[in-house]
Amino acid sequence: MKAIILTGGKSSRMGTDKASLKIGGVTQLDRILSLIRPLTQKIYLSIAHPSLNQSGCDIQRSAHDLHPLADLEPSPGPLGGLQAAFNDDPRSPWLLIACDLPRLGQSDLKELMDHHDSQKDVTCFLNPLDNQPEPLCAIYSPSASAKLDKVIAANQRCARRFLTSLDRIELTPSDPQAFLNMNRPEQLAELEHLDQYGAVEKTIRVEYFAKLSQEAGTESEDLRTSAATLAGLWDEVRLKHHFTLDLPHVKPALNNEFASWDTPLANEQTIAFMPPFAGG
Amino acid sequence: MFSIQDTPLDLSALRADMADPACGALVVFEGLVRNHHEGRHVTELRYTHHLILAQKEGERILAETMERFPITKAVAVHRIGTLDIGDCAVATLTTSPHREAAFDANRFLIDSIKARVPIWKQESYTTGEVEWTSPCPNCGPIAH
Repeated sequence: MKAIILTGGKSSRMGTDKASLKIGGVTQLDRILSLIRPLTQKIYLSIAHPSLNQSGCDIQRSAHDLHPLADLEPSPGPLGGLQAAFNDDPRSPWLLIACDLPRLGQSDLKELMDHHDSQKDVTCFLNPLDNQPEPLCAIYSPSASAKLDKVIAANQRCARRFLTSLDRIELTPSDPQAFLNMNRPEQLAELEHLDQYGAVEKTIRVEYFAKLSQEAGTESEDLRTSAATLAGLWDEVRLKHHFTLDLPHVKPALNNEFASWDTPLANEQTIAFMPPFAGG
Repeated sequence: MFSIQDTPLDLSALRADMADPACGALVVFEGLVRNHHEGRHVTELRYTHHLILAQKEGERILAETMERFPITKAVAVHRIGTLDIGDCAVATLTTSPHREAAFDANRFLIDSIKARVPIWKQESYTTGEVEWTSPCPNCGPIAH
């Protein structure tokens, strides 16, 4: 089996590239490499099409034993990495993996490998937070290659939609937070906190107001959660209730006072999530 | 004084409470329920709030208003529950010896209430639809 790592490039919301972001002093690329290396030595790094300014150059140099694989076209999205992989070796199964999965464990990856079956197009995980299959931590069989070509030819770029069109094996990771990622600085604070103190279970009363209570179908609920900060709790309930608002448009309160997203959670606190105010 | 109530606002009583022989200016702003929102016909409005935080934030805004402007008194009342078209949803009253400060303070007060106090509005339309509304883009800065 071979592995191809997606480094994403510069994240506009994080203001930096995710591969070199450090949590607990370790870059995301180094961390994912340490998980993959015991399982395969054939590791490739997905890089941008040669016509683009390659933000992956520095990363590539620092991780010198990785083989770069360039996208076959400019800006194809994450599926472009898989396309380049099958273009390089159409007979191998490929582990397609994002570099920003800081809570993913070694045992999860090993389980993915152990359950891989070449008779199925793909072996993947369900994200326990929303019960959706994760396209960017999955092993794709050669049988997925022809289907991928068709999807890319049809200019379809959504990795999850491609994944759900395949014949697949779905696994559940040991840690409900295994697929937390970091698209926003507030999520990075959550991950740093989890890295530093570990995942601690707590009971939290969550209150929803206005549109959020309508979408959640309740004004409050008691949750068992391992989230470390208000931002982590928000991500959990956002996925659970399929909220249509995201963090920049929501204000949190802790025990009836406004609070910042990086505030740590403690057992038996009351957290309110509030949509934009509309008084007057 | 900042208060939230589920009964109609008594404007004349509020105005009477502002009386002060040293004040030459009383500015009263009334926010009324409009029959349209972004092109749709509104039949009624329902306001909800965060009971504790709305009260706390309203009191903080009033204290800031008193600090920032040379005024004598400031009062704000917001109504919650179901309101009809034309009903007064919010009133802000400011008094000062001269009109400029009362005008400026009143503007700051109502703008801050709209932006910072956790109150929400659910509109019912003639089509039968009911929606939680986003802050109107014409209603000044949005807090978040």
